[in-house]
Amino acid sequence: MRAAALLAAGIAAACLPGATGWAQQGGRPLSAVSRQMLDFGTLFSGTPTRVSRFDALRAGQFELRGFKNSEVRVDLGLPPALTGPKGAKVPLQFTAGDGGYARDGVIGTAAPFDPRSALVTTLSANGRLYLFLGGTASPAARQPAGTYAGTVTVTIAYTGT
Amino acid sequence: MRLMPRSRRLTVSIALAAAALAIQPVLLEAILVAPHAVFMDHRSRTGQVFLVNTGDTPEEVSIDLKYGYPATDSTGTVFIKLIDQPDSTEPSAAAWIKAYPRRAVLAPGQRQVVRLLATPPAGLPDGEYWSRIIATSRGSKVAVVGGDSTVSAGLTLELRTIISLSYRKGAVHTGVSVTDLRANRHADSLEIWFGAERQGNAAFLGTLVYELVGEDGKPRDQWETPVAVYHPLSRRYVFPLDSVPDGRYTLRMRLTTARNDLDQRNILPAEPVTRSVDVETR
Repeated sequence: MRAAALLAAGIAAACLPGATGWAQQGGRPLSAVSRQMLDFGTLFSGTPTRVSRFDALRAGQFELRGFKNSEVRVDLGLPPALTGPKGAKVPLQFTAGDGGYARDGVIGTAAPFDPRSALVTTLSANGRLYLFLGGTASPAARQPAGTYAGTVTVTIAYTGT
Repeated sequence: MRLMPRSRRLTVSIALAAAALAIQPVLLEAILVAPHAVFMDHRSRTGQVFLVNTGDTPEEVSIDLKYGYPATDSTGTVFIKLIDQPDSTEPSAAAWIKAYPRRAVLAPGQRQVVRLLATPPAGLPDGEYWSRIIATSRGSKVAVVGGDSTVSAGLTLELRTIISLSYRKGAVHTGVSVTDLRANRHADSLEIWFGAERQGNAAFLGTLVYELVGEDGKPRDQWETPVAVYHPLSRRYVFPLDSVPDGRYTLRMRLTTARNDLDQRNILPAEPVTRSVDVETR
């Protein structure tokens, strides 16, 4: 199933204009890829769980692809809490060190940024930018049972057009 | 994420996704929007945007048009200023350009062409009119597996990609005037304040090149960035001074319409602007 999807993606990509073609269409493509959502893993009631942005298995990981050396602005819309049954919430905290970005994709050497503020930076020489996101979930001691959900919004824009 | 009473361990549903990751890369969501700048003209009144789901899960994508342009805040940081109800003095095309379709569900690998059709008001004066195209994609929700009556939860992701749209009618021309150029050392970086105003009836799209020149006339470092001037800007740039020894320098600024990310046919010519300012990096 996945192989078929990847094959379809490959065929679709092959049918798209090349670099010159994109320029003739007016500009280059801009794409965003979510490689992994922030995953708080196993939680204990009443015990906050922090996921580091350096955690390769649980940190949120995003990749932007665009024109080389272009300046982009990235805004993260972070939920203050996960919402569950009857409005019950599991609070989330994001602090200044919970965001990281790298042009080479290496999570361990990613530069820090505050995910609560915008990130304005440039794509790499091959048009890539990798973002990493950590955070803290703080379930209450008597957290009601049910399904909890939240939405992270990633907004990207070129600043030069 | 699964939550259970204190005595029981909570098993996270996304652990399944993590297990899958160990086997092969998973693209939870991936959307490609192209081009990153759309140009339309009054003769054809049409345009198009490509959307491609490059991930391996279905994507619901919606397209919205809203008036907006790059602007700067009080800290000199650039942002896309979006205005829901622009007044009549703003050259907004958002109200009379429509996208078809406005919503689509893309299977993995599927490509969708979004047609743009303009129906400008009669008597529209010559000039350039602007909008932003906002492509919002929402992937399928992260799978939550709850095998019993415990609590479970998951984060979903929304990706918003904002690109520019310019609609040109008749004679359009652009230019730029530099209203501010200051530079000083800030910690281990060079802080530059750059102010600019657009001239003409079209946005200035160009490239800003800074060159740090030593007292001996030799260039020590250079930085280059694309710039768009729609309304007055006051940008703050910060560049690392890693490889630059302390000393007195001249910062030369050159602003031209050179762009290698855009079709040259869409580039409006303008006179280059140069400025310089002294900098001490001690």
